Amino acid sequence: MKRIGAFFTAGILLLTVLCFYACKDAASGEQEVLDSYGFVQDFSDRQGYRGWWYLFGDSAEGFKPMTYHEDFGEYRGEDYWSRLSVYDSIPGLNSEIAVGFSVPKTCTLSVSSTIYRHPPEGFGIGQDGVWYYSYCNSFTDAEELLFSEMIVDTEITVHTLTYETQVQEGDMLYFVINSRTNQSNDNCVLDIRIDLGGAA
Amino acid sequence: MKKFWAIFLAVLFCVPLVACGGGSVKKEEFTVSFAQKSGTLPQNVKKFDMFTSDWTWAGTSPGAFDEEMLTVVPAIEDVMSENLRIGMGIGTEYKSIGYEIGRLTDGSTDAEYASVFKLLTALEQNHVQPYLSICYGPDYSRVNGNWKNTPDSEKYETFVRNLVQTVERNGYNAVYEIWNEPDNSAFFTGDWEDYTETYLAGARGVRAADPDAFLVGMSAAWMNERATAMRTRKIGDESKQMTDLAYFIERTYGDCLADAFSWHYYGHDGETEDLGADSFSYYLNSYRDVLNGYLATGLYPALETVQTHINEYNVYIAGTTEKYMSAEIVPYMFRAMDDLLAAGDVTSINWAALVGEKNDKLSYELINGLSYERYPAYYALWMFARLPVDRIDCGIEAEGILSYAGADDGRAGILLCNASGITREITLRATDLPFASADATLYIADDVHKTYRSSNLPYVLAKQENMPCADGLYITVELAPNATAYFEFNDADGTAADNDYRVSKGTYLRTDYWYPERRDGAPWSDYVQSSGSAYVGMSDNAVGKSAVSVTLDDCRDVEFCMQYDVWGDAQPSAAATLGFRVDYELSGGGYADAVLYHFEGFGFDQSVPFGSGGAVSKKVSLGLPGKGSVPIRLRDHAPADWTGRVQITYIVKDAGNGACAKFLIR
Repeated sequence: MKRIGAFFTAGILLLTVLCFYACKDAASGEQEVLDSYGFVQDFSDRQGYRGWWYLFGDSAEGFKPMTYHEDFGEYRGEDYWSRLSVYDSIPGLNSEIAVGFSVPKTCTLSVSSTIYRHPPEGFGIGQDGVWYYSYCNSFTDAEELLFSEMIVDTEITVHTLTYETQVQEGDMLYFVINSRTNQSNDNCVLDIRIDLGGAA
Repeated sequence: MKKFWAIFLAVLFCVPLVACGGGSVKKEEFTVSFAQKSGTLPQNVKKFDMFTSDWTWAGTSPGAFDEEMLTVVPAIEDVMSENLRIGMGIGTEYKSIGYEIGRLTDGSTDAEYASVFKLLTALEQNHVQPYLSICYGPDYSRVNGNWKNTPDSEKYETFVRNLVQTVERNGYNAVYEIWNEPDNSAFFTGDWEDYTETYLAGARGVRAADPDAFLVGMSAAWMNERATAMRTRKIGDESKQMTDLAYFIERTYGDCLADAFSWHYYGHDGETEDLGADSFSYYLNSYRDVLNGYLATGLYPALETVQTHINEYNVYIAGTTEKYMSAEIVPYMFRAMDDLLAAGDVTSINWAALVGEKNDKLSYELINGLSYERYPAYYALWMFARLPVDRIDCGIEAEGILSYAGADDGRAGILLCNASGITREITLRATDLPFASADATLYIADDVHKTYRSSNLPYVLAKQENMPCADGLYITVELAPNATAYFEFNDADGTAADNDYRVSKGTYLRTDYWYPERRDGAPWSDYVQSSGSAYVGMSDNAVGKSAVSVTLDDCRDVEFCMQYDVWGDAQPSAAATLGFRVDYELSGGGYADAVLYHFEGFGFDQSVPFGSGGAVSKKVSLGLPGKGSVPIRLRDHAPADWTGRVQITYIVKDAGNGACAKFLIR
């Protein structure tokens, strides 16, 4: 009986190891709750790491996770140009890109985000800028947006956007870049910092 | 029973219910012993190759090349595809890799192939042979302005000759196919006779450029019609009723006979059978019936070595439902693969397609051409590719569970696909693993476990290194409907799996097969170019024969160790052959001084349609059938006027029911 018990223990230990391995890559695996998060500092090749999701699609119809391209070091969506990284983010021809943040605990959090467009080419053909906006979980009209900013035409200044809001654990914040009518020269550089306050 | 539980190292892994689709769960236990290989079952032969359409490699403007797309080339090698069939789109007005070829020239300048060469270089680096579908009509040979029209024969011959010369002058070894789907008005406006003339012109061009080049003909969209519909045709002065396939055979038999006949097959919504004349078996057996009819006459012996390539294949055609991008399609794929593996005489199946159209529409792709996401269908092929060829009978008879297993000296693998429609909890016991300790990995492909990466590796559900194997291993996994799990055990001491090896002996020229019998379950043979591994087997037959021959150049100083292994019920007899022969090419032409290396009791000197074909000059016994190796220095038995080229032909004949052998050049 002792012998059986010894092997059983070995089995349990192994189970732990295997579970750990499996969860390491899983988007929904248990993760430590931090005080602050940063899109650039936390950027990862793993969807869901530190709560960040890299998405494409449409805020009305829903977003899907992008695919991390190991050679290019950036996420790609299923649309021409659709890509997202710390250096360069571009909405697709017919789709938006979004950074999602899965809230790890119920609290009041504050957001500070910067965005700027890469210097556009000399002539403004097709350069109608981008629309950058944020919401929690979903929205039905513009009133519910947590911020909304047009970065128009050939403008290349850095825009800083902030808000503070109460959230529940599991809520998803979305930071969306929309190409407006076309996505010519819509290359943007984005950062988002999120600080978690105390319990709500 | 107590002892059983005590000596097995328990590995229990439970996937959360939400990850498995919920619903009822059926629990089962299976034991798979790796002690004995099966020779009667179809082996896990690596004959699933790849296809990409004209536009896959093209950039966003005509003539441009999509450099980024080259990052998917390693994905071809990782599913053990020996070749990539490339639609070239020559002469078309749309974006294609062959856009520049023959547009302003006769196809003879390197510059017009710049895009093609980028791809060919990447393929070569990844041990994948290019399979160029020379379609369609370039400006140079065009008649009446349309690339779909029957080209001017003389000019087309010149063009194809120039194309082959240019490709080979630049150091590439490719397969050449004349046109694509000439029986589809979307790609050819002429009739079958017009295509046959076009083929003959192209074939003459290929042969003139390089007599050793591998030539493919037909590329038929609808073999169900080509092999059955009777039409009045004129051969010489004689008019007779015949099928298009028969007409093609009779018109091309001789110097222009193709090395492979090619045709395409797409299933309906995943199904490939019970579709009447659209069933895969109807396509294949109608085609075989015509070939067998000619073979039976004894007047067309060269047809015995014409290969069958289904060089566009899928269980569905590009459609409008997302299930093709989900795991739902995978059970259909494995069911179809059972049929394809049973058809030993089909030597290459090009999955359509590696990458589909690069837009946001639904396509028939394994990899999304914009996001580079690998779909479950890709992972299914990846998992099958990893399985050793040497088949293990799983003995799993559970309704709705599709299973495959294989083992060689470096790897053992078990693949389970849940086609049952309900969640299954499966405890799998792997016993008699062929090594002392294993690095074990459990991969899964379903709609929940996604990597969200461009990596070719499926989701790793569990991994553990250095697990002692003496007492077996077991693991429990829940499989959602349509999920596929692949359990891989690699020798922790580092012995490589047979097909992970990359051979570099001599210069590879081509592979030829001998299939005197065209039916499911006939004796078979296979050669894996990249690893130099050859397999022959009797399947469930006591009598019958097959052979595969590989032609290698630059072998004067080549020495290697031929490792071999035999399994199944090999039965020696005076009529039995099991082994390989080496034929030496003479500088004056032809082959001579063949040496037959055979197992004891399997030394019948079977003539073959390769090398000198006839009696061998020498026999070397490998001893009783079993595992071993023999050092071979090719020059030892070479004639004085040897060119340095050899044909190594692996043969099985009347070797006993289920007899199977492999030969590995190392």
